[in-house]
Amino acid sequence: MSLIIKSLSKSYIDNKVLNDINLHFKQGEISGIVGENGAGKTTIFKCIAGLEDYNGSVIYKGEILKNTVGFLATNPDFISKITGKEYLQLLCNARDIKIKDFDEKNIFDLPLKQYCETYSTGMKKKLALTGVLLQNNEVFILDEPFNGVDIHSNIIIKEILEKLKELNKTIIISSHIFSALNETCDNLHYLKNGTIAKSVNKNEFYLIENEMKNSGIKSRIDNLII
Amino acid sequence: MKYYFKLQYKRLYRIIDSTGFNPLIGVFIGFSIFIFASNLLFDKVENAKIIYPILSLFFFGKLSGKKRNDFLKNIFNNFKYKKLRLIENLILAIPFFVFMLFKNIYINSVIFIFIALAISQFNNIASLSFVIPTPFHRKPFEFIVGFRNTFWLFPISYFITYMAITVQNFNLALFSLIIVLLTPLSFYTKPEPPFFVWIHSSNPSEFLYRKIKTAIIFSLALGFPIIISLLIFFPSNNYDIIATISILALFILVTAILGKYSFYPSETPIQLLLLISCIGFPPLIIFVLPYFYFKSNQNLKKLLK
Repeated sequence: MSLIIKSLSKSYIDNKVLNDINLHFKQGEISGIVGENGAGKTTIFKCIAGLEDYNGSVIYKGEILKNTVGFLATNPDFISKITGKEYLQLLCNARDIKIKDFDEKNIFDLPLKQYCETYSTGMKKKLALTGVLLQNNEVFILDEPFNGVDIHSNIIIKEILEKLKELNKTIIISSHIFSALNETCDNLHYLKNGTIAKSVNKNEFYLIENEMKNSGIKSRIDNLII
Repeated sequence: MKYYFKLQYKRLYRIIDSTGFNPLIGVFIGFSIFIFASNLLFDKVENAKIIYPILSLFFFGKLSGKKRNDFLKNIFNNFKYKKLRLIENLILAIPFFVFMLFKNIYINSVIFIFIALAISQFNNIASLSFVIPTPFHRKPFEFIVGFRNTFWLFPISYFITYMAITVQNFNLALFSLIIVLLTPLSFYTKPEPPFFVWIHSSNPSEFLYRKIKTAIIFSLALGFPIIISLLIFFPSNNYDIIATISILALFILVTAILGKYSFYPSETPIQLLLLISCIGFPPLIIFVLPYFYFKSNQNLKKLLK
């Protein structure tokens, strides 16, 4: 099932963060969204997931989109004094998913009996990703899944993405690591100042990479370091 | 360090301002709640002279949190950090200290202020990485987190019940039951990040029903040993009191849960004010509970469909 975004706009008081976004995410494809910090990537994700109000429409044929979206935040939220296993249990309970043995699902070898707050940044991300995967979602929104994660886990995440693609899921990711996007994505959307500046297929990724590289960074660095 | 306290003042001003209250009115309401709640405790509880200073010390826990203390240690040198923590605890202790003086509790108030200052030097106590076992692990998260934060209170309450049975003091046993049944109120005061509401694939009323059901079952489970002991060891003419207290405590708990989601994800003084009013004057629950239910149902529609 495709996920279609039509004329999506979002403002925070007077600040327009997203302006007339139109996107089409296909089932069985990995779509990437790139852009500078503050371009609006996370806001788009939150709007699609239903964590933020917006103008426009998010169309998903099937069940209520919110109930079948797995959302991995850049910095996932955690509650203090709950263990990794309890966090996973919470996410599964929320979607009425019964899992007896979380240890066998622990592909990242996380210390599930420890409090989440004692985890490192990368471990937290891996725990949150495990939770999202256990929820049996149809659509996956992964905000910077490779960020803060070790090399070995990065390889596992890429394999997970491939597996999800095989299973015909709809996957949307963002990353600042262009090589990772190059390896995993089928199409890329370049978000600039709250609008989609360019959308390209795999054989044209270099166009976005070049555009991002040539966005006047050198002159700005020269201004900073004299 | 002067700038730090100036910043804290600004933060407090902004927090009250964000609730929609004029900060001066907000401070006035805050103090009114404090005086009302303190007076209520002295009016209703037999050993308030001892219980009040002990309960007051719980408010210092938040200042001893690991995250904020790590931050303070990072930006101030050791001497300044210790001095700052001492001043923080002193500022927080003053209202309780003055109230105790007002109630002519001189010795306890002096002991209280010494303890309050002393604990300013013991931080990160709550950050133990040792995982406290909990019987509620199947239903995260409020009871898991709350139980781990207040676990020591339950054996103390059970011990008070045992003592009450030994000396045949029904009121004391009833007091321990009230403590056990009202402690879960604190589990539901802080709003969780929206993500943890959003993940639920249920509509607002189903979501609230689940939360309330879990809270009632687990609260009764905690109070069960005391209720059974009371029923066994105290004569049958007390059944109605035990039932009334238990039902009332559960209604207050439900009001607290609905109150949290009525203004979610914000925290407003109105919800606290209404909750305290319900505790002080329980018939108010008849009006407040349906109001909170309707409001929370509406409010959660943003995150739950």
